[in-house]
Amino acid sequence: MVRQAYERGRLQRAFRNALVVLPLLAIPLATCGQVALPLCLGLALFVAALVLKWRGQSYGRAASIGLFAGSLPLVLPLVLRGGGHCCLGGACFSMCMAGCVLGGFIAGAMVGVMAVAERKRWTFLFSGGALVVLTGAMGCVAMGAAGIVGMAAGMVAGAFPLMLIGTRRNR
Amino acid sequence: MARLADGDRAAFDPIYDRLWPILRRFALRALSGSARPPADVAADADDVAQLVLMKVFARASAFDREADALSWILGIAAYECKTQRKQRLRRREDVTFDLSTLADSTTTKTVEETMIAKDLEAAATELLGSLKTVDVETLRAVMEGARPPVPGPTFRKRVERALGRLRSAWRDRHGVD
Repeated sequence: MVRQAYERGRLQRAFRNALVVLPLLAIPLATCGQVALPLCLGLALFVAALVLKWRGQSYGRAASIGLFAGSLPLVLPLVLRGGGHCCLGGACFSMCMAGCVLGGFIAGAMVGVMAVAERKRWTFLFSGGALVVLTGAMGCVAMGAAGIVGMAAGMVAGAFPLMLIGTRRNR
Repeated sequence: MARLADGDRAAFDPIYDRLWPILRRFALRALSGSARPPADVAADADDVAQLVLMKVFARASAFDREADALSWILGIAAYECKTQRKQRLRRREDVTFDLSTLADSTTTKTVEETMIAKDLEAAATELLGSLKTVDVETLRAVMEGARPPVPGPTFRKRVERALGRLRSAWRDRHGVD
C-alpha cells in the first residue's frame, strides 16, 4: 500500500512535469499549418516524457534536458523560415533545413555534454536523444521527412563525439 | 531520502524499515497522556504511523534535497497526530451530545403527551363556555383557591352543582366520565 502510494505520487508529479509538452505542441500547431502529424508527435512526446519522469534517476534527468534542448530544433526552423536559401559550396539548402540540422546538432551537443556527468551515460544519452528527436520533429515536420532525418543526424553528430571526448578526459 | 526522491526504488525498503519504529514511537508519545487504555492509544499510534508513511512516500518525489529529511517527516507526523487528536475530541463531544439529548428526553414530555394535554384543555374550555356564569365563576374560584363572599355551606353546594353540571356536559359530549 505504501509502495503504491509512492508510485502514485511519482506518477502525479511526472504528469505535471510532462504538461510542459502542451506549450511546445502549440508552437507547430500555430505556425506550420499541419495538425495531425504534430499532434501524433506531441502525444508520443508526452507519453515518453511521462514514462521517463516517472522512472526517475538518469531517465528523469534526461527527460528534462531532452525537452529543454529539443525546443531548439523546434523553434530554430520556424524562426529561419523567412531567410530564403543558404548556399554552401555547390549545394543550396533552405534556411529551414539548415535550422533543423543546426538545432539538432546543438541540442545533441547539450545532451552529450550533460551525459558525461552521469553514471549511466548511455541510458541518459538515448533517453535524452529520443526526447530531442521527438520535440525537434514537431518543428521540422513542415520540412517533411528530410527535415526530421536531418535534425536527427545533426543530433547524433553533436551528442556522441562530445560525450566520448568528455568521457575520455574524465578518465 | 534524496535517492528515493530521485526515483531509486532500491532505497524504498531501507527507508521503510528505519522510519516505521521512529514514527510509531513518535505517534505513541504524541497521542498518549489521556485516560484512554494503552491498547487503544497503541492502535491509534499504529494507524497514524501508517498514514504518515503513506504521505511521506506519496510526497517523496517532491522532497527538497537540501532539507533535513527527518525534520520534514516528523513535521508531517506531528500534523497527523494533531489531526488524530482533534478527531478523537470531536468523537467524544458527539457522544456527550447524544447522551445529553437522551437524558433530556426522559425528563420532559413527549410530543404525544403534550398534544393530548392541549386537546383536553381545549375540550374543558369549550365545556366551561356551555355552563352558566355562576357555575363558571364557582369552578374558577375553586381552581384559584379564592373564596367568594358567601356562606361556606352555600359555596360547597354551588361547587357540587357546578361539578355535577360539568360532568353531565362532558358525558353528553364525549360519552364517558
